[in-house]
Amino acid sequence: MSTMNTELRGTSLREDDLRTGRALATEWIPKTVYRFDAGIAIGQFLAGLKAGRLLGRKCHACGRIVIPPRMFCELCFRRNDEWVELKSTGRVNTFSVSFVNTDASRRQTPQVPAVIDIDGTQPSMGILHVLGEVGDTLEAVLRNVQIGTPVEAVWKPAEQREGAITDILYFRPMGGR
Amino acid sequence: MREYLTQTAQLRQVPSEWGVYYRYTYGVAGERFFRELRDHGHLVASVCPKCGRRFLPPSLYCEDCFVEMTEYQPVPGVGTVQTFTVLHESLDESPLPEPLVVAFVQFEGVHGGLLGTLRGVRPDQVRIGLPVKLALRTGQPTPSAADIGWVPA
Repeated sequence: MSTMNTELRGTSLREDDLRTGRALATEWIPKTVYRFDAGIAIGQFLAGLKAGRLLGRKCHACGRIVIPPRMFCELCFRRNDEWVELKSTGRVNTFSVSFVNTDASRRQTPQVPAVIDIDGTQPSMGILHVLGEVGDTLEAVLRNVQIGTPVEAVWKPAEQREGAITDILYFRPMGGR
Repeated sequence: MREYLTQTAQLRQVPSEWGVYYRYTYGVAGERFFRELRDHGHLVASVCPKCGRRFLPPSLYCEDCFVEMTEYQPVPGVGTVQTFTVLHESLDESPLPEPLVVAFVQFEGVHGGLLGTLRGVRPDQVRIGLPVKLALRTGQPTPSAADIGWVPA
């Protein structure tokens, strides 16, 4: 039977110890800028967004249409075959109601990130985006959004698009359904 | 599968940046080292009570004997350049106004060594084996490795 009560030595530090200089420290903000090459599939996808089109890739062996596109079918283990334009509509696969920004600061009104299964993908396949026009309170969002809610993309004006996923401003529930 | 780039203007790159920030605490031995540097302007090595080896920068445990070191001794003033490099660009790749020599310096009878900027000698005159002494950057609120520099002895 081993004894688990080994006493660990060390010097515990608090924020105040660093601020007052009781413990010395070096601060550093590394400059970590990078650019990644979007590659063939995502490059075309982003070019499509700039043109206001959602592009997927179809594999003729299994029939799947994948979005975001890639040039290889990971199930059939072969290059897939053709570009397919998809409608910029879909259904909410899952969503979250967030009152916290990515830097952990608090939001007054929620952001609603969601995975949207794009219509026409087989089997349904989603992209991560945000929902808009769904309300400013948790209660309102939950009234307007459910898993399965049909949504449509709201695009930036054509002249403002830059070939980024943010060329779609958000997805909103489709009216009258 | 190959991608043939014929219209490079259409190459799509996605630029971004990692938001990284850290604070590095020096630890027990490093704390002692930098306080000696700041308050007394000299380098100290830690001494192993078992084998007597001296470590620079000081560490808390002797890596051979695995015993704790609590004794610190000043390092002799003159060391020798063990290796060096000449920088012409700063970290952000902008050209430096004049080349900067960074030298790794070791001291006789001391295990390890320290990096620091070497001034007072033309870059093309720096040689391995050059005797140098400590030239400390002073007046920093928090001492750091950037304070350590050398001049020819």
